[in-house]
Amino acid sequence: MIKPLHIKIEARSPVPIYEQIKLAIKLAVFSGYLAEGDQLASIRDLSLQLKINPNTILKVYSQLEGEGFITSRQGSGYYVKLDPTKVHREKYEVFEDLSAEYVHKALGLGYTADDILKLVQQKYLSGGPSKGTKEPPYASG
Amino acid sequence: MLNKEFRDTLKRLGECFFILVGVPLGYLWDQVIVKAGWDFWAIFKGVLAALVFVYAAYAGATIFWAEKRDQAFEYLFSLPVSRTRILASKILPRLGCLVVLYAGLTVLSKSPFFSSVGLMLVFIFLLAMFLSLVIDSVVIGFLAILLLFGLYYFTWPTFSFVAWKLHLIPSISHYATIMKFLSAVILLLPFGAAFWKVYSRLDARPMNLQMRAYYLVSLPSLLVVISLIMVFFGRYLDMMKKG
Amino acid sequence: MLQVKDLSFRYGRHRVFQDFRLDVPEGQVCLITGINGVGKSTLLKLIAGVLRPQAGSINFPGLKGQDPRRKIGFISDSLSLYRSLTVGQAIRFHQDVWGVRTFDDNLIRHTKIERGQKVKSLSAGQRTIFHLSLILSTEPDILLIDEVIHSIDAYLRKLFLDHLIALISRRAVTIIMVNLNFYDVEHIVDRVILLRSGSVLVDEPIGELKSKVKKIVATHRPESLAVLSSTEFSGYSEFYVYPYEPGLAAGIEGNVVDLNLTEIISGFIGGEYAEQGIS
Repeated sequence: MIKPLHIKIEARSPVPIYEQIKLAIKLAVFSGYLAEGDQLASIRDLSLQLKINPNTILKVYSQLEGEGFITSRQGSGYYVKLDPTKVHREKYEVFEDLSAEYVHKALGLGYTADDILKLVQQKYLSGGPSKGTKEPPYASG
Repeated sequence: MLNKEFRDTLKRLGECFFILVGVPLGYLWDQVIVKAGWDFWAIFKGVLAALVFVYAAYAGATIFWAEKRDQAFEYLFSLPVSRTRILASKILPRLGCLVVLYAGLTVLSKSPFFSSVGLMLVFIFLLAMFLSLVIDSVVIGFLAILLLFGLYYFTWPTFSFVAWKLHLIPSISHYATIMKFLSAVILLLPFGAAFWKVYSRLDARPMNLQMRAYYLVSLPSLLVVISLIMVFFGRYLDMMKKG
Repeated sequence: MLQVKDLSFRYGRHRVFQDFRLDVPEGQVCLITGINGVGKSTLLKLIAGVLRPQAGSINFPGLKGQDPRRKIGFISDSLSLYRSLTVGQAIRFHQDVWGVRTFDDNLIRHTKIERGQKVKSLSAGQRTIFHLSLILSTEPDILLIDEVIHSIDAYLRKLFLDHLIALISRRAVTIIMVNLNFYDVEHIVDRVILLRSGSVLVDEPIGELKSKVKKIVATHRPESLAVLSSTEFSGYSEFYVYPYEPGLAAGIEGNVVDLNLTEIISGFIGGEYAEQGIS
């Protein structure tokens, strides 16, 4: 079935439009809104919906296909087909970027590493200390 | 504001009252016909003949009328149609109507085919068409045609005279139709050449920007033709007096 | 798809283009803009064959010998049409010239246009939509659209642009638009060309343009950067900067602001006016 997506495009952004759309679709996958086998809107529909050049959507879908998120079926359209290793890596990169953004901003406000860890554990993660560190896949080494 | 409204009203009122002029005119006309015993049928044919001449001029002068009125030049020139085809498809129906009208006149007047009249009609049509690029107003176009038509009536005897002088024809009155045809061509040639030069480069620029070829070609040629005619026509008149 | 070579054109005494060059590849959506009178409409008319250059040529390599106007759909800024014809007659006239029979009257029905109406009785918005459906009916490879999107209502604008988007998704069309407003078309165009009295001031893909033009809000004018135009407030100013590179603003006390297309163009045009002594 087709899962409609609302993607907010920011015109005033250093990030190119196609990257913004790609990221939105990836986040939809990571959050579980888009699951394996779900159909994406056609290039025509999505370009009409977002009021952007269909060639941009084509670029988005082609790149997502190469990055292991979707696949195109002849005559049928584009479907979510996840390459687990690639998806995991991307998801981790998003996690890292989010964390970096948060940590830098928090440090910029003047808080220390201890302050950050304490706040995160006590306010946002239920329970006490974390249940052992989970080895991140493909940690740089 | 009120001044303008008064002027407009008086204009409309004047136009309306113009109809009244028709009443005494109609009466006078009726009296003239009754007293002179003119044949209604002859009058009708006369008016019809005049109409055909007027139509010839009008048809030529209004060849771009639709484009001028509708501001359709940009549209017309964006169509994948060559200039030649545009001109041909404009000339064909108009000339065709002219021919039909002329044929009708010939049949109605029960006279033999007036070749020189037919020639005159084509001359007027072409002249009006050539002038239509330069002259915007139909009325001024008519006046220009009348002027040049008057010129034609000086041209063709002059041309006969020149041809006779050059021993090309046995006497002045010989080959009158051919002489008329040739003199029409001579008068039309500069306009035709200027028209073609302008027309082949015609695009959607305002008309006045494209008229240089017209002014540079047709007006000087016309001056040359007129001066030659004046010279030879003078001699022709002298000759007539003597002979 | 389209090559403008050494184009020279003047309107009487007024020279518009001198040795002008432009190449537009197939399938590109190109936006041409600039202040009034700079030659945008003239350029489009030259490409459409409506005006003829005094020198130079416009070639269409992909169109192989046929009359290029056969593959061009052109909407002039005056919406030039035979206005005394009815809608039905105008359609038949247009189609006879191209020799096509089918006409998709989707757009016409949508805007309540009747075939028996005269074209001059249509509202400006209806005439714009009608003109669009007319040119689309001949399957053009090149669309030239001159400023007509501006003066119609928001709904018709959306209708117009939706049809362009649908067309792009169906076929590889090359579109050249002249616009003075950009918020509708910002994400549809690939390339932005800013003209300045017959020559090109800016010619960039839109992504690059956005990364090269930034606004800096600061107390002092950034010295090393080329400023297009500026706006003064009390105690601080805004500076439009081009070309911008990350890191160039490092030593400046202020913020670097990203811009949308309208702001970018406005920055350039502000610079144009400033140069001419109007600020």
